[in-house]
Amino acid sequence: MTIIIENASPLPIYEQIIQQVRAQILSGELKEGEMLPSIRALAKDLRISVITTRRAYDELEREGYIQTVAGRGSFVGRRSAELVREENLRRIEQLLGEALQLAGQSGIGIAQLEEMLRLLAETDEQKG
Amino acid sequence: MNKVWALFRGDVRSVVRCNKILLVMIFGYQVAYVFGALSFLGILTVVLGGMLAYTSIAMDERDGWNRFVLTTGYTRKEYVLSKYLLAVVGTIFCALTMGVFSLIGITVGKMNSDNSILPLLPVLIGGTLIMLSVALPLSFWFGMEKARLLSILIIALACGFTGAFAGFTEGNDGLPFQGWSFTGLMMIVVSVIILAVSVMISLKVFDRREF
Amino acid sequence: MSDAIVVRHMKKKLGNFTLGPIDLHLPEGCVMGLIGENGAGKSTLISLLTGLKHPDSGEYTLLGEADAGLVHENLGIVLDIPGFPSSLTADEIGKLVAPGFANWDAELYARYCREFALPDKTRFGKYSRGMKMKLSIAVALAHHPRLLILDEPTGGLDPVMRDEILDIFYEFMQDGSHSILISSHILSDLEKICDYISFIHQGKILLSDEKDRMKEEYGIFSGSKSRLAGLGNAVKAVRQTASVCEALVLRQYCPEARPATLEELMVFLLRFGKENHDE
Repeated sequence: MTIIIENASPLPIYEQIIQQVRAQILSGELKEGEMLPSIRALAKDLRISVITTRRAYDELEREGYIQTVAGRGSFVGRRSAELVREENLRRIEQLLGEALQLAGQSGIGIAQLEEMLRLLAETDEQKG
Repeated sequence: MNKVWALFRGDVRSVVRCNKILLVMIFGYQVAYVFGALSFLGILTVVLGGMLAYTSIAMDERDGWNRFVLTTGYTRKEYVLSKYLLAVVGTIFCALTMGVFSLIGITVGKMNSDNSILPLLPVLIGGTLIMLSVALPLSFWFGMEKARLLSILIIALACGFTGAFAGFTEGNDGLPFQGWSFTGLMMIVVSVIILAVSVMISLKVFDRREF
Repeated sequence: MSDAIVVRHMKKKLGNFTLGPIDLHLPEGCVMGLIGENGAGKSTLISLLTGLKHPDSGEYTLLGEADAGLVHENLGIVLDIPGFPSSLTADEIGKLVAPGFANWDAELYARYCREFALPDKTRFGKYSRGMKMKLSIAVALAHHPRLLILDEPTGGLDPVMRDEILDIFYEFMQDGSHSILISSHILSDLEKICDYISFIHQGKILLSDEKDRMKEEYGIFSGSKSRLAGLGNAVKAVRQTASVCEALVLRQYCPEARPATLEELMVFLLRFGKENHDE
C-alpha cells in the first residue's frame, strides 16, 4: 500500500490517507482480505502521529472499507469494495432521480440533462 | 552493597586514570620520606589518599555523572556510600604502602626503626578519616562547582592537619606517643564513630540536594 | 488506557523563576513533544519528573507511580547534558550502568553502540556532542524501558543522525505500551512523531493538545489589516511589518488561512502572542 502525504495540502493528513486508501480499494489495487499495515507501522513509515493513522483507519472502518480484528490487524473488508460500489450506485440512482424530478418541474428535457452531465464530467476531468 | 561496589570500582578506574601524576607523586613522596625527607611529605600522602574520594566527587560533578547516576537504579544513598568507601580505602591503601615502604626502608637500613612512621599509622589513618568526615558532607551539600572556596578550605584543612601532625611528631623527637598503643587505638575508634556520623549527615544532606 | 505521565498542579520556585502550576497528561502509547524557548522551564520540568528536583507543591505520577525512584527500571532518560565519567569507554560505561538496572541488556547495548558507530577504545570525554547524545540514547534504550523522557536528545546531531534516531524512536513506539516525552527545539522532528504537543512559556503551559487538532485549529493568515480586524478574537497573534501582515488565527473563523507548522505556532504564540504582551 503506497500512501503519499502532502504536508502543504490544506487537507488534513488523516483525510489524505482515507482518500488514498479508499481510492486504492475501489480501483482494486488493494484486494479484498488484504492486510493493511498496523496503525503504528503506518505512522512510522509515513513519519506521522499514530493518532492520525488511527483516526484514518477508524473512519475507513466506519465507512465499511476496512475491518479491524483486535490482535490481528486491519484488513480490506471482504466484498467491501463491492458493497461500497453498490452503495454508491444506489446513491447515484437516488441523486439522478432527484435531478430528473427537478428537471421535470422546470421543463428541462433529457437531452439537456445529458449535455449538462457531459460538461460537468469535462470540467471535472480538467480539475484532475 | 553490590551496587555500591560497582560504583566504587568505576570510581577507582576513573580516578586512577585521571590522576596518574598525583599517584606517582604520592608514591614518590613516600619513597622520599623513607629516604629521609620531611615527615610532612610522608604524612601528606595518607591524607592525599583519602582525598581521592573528594577528587572523585569533583570529577563526577564536572562530568555531570553525579546528576545522571541518580536517574538510574543507583540510589542517592549508594552514591554517597561509594564515596565513603573510596575515602576509607584510599586512606588505608596509602597508609599500607607507607608502611610497606617504611618496612623496606628499615630493612635496608635507611630508616631507623625507632623513629619510623609505622607506629603512627593508626593515628594518621584516624586523623585523616576525621578530616574527611568534615570535608565530605560539605562536598555533598555544596558541591565542588558552587564552592570554589570550599575546595580551598578543604585543601587548607588537609595541609593544616598534616602540618600540625608533622610538627607534633618532629617537635617531640619523633614519637610523642606510641601509635600502636591505647592512644592509637582510641584514635581509630573515635574516627570510626565520627565517620559514621558523617555518613549519616551526608546521606541526609544529599537526599535533599537538587540538580 | 492508562497514563504514562500525569502532572497535577506542580509548582517549583527557583530564584526568580516559578515553574507552574503545571498540569500535563500523556496517555500510554503516545509521544508528547515539549516545546518552549530556552529558559521556559522544559529542563526544570524534566528534572522534577526524573527525581532530580523536588516540587514545592503538586504531584505527578509516572507509569502510575508517584516516585521516579519506583519506576526507574521502566524509565529511559536522556538529560540535556550527557553525564558519564569522561575517562571511561563506552564498554566500561555499559558495565558501570548495568547494575543500576535489573533489565539491562548488554547485547542490546553493544548493538546500539555498533549501530551508532561509537568507537571502542575512545574515552567518553573525547566524544563529539553527537556521539555523547547517541551513547545516552543507547544507555536509555538498553534496559528495555516503557517510558522515555528525553531532554533535547537530538541536539548537536546532524540531520542524517537525527533521521536515524527518529527511526529508533518510531521503532520504540511500535509497542503500544511504550510512551515518550521529548523536549526539543528541532520542531521538524517533533512535527513528525508527536501525538501531543505542549507549549511551555515562562514556566506555564500555554497550550497542550493533540498535534493534529492543533494544526487543524490554528492557521496562518496573510492579508489585509481590515480583514484581520474583522476576525476579532479569532486572532491569537499578529506579526506586522511595513509590508506584511501575518497572524495566527483560528481556522474555523478564517477559512482562507493555511495550516500552521509547529514552528510557526511556536514563534507566533511565544513571540507575538496576544497574552504575552507583558514582555
